[in-house]
Amino acid sequence: MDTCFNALLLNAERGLRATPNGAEIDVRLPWYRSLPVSVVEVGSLKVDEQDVASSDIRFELNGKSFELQDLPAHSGEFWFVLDAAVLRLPGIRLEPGTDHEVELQLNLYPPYVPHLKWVTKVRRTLRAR
Amino acid sequence: MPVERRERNMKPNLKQKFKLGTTLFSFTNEFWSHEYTFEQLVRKVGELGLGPGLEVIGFQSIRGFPNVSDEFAARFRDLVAMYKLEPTSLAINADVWARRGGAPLSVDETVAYLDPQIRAAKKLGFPVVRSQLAATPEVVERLLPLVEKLGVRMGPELHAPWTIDSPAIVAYRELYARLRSPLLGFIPDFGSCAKAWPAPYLRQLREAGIPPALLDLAMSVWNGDGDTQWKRDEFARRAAAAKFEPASISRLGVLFSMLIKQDPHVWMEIMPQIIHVHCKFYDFDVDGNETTVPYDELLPMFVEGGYEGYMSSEWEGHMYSRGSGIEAVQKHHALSKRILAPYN
Repeated sequence: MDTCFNALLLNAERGLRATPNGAEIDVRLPWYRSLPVSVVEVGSLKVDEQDVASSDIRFELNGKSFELQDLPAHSGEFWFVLDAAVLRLPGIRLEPGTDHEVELQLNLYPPYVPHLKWVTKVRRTLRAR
Repeated sequence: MPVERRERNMKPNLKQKFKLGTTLFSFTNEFWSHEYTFEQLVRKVGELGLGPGLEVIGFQSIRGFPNVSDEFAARFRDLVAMYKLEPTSLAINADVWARRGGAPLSVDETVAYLDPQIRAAKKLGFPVVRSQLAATPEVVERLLPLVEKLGVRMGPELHAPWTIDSPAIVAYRELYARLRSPLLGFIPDFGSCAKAWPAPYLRQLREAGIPPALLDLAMSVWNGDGDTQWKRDEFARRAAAAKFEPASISRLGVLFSMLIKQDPHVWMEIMPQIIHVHCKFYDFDVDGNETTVPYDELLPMFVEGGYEGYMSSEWEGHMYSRGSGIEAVQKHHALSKRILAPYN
């Protein structure tokens, strides 16, 4: 029995795109309400078994682009619960139409609950478009 | 059911004064997966008779919350009127730990953060705002002039792992005794008087690869004696000592903040101060009885206590399943109406 959060964190149909600016991965917010991006942490990301360093990932949302290390400072930037954010990987070039194993651990620290770290870890085969 | 309880339940002079309702939190699966829009969910509550009470979480349902446009507010009021629904509670959030790794919001900052959320409730026609313990008694006292001006009632949700005599809750009770404002109260969440763990949740955790020995440890601590907050820490300590994976430990730790055991009769102590209720529920047996929360005791008790507010059916199944919240709430309403039939 799966949850929506696990099943739809990554989008198997159109959630991986090859672009001139690197690979893009769509990610959903695995929580029932919108949260500030300051409490969002990319715990780990692997593409085809290779770790992607956090310095090689940009987090894009609401038309803005963030370094992962800068996210904690943006407590006024909200991730609406129905929107997908994009993880942009400028260093990874993919061929459209090829399949790739993506493993993502996303950690949330809901800012109204003391001591809660909410971990969602998903591994999926995504086809680059 | 014990004989004396059944007799008490059938007292002919007692009448149900509270109304049922739904919180859209129950439909997290439907909304989050883009199966239904906010407006479609409100319509569904109306069409299926899952009101009249309608509760909304600002940061779930409304893009840009706490900013609410005039257009959105007018549309919402029209919808509610069209389906004869009654807005009950708008859930607001004190995100005091939003600056990860930095200082929590000060009292001034928290007051400023909640102010527009309370105004949004007024604009949308909600008579109550549900806060949480992160909005401390000091913050609540500072917001009293605003809620008095707007005529909106406010209070923290009494949620696991806190019990009614936890120091954090006692602090509000003392504040209320001092201020004596009819606008301030409490919102019990029935997950804080549970009797068992929902079986489908445990099943999902087993399927997700949580070791059975770790689940057994969690259940034995949860079922055992001791303070409910201590239990959460005690489980984490013992699990870490036994070298279980931190991710699994953290996943089970959440359970201690969702459900706790507590005598349901504690609500009688604060009944006059209860301004809204979250009927948390999870799972039903073949007879339609909920398996984790003692509704057969709770609902008659709220009739006896003379409660006059609303009860929001609140399904939390999105934590372990992709199931339909709409179907779950229908079952919960059927159960509630069956239990309440003698009082109508």
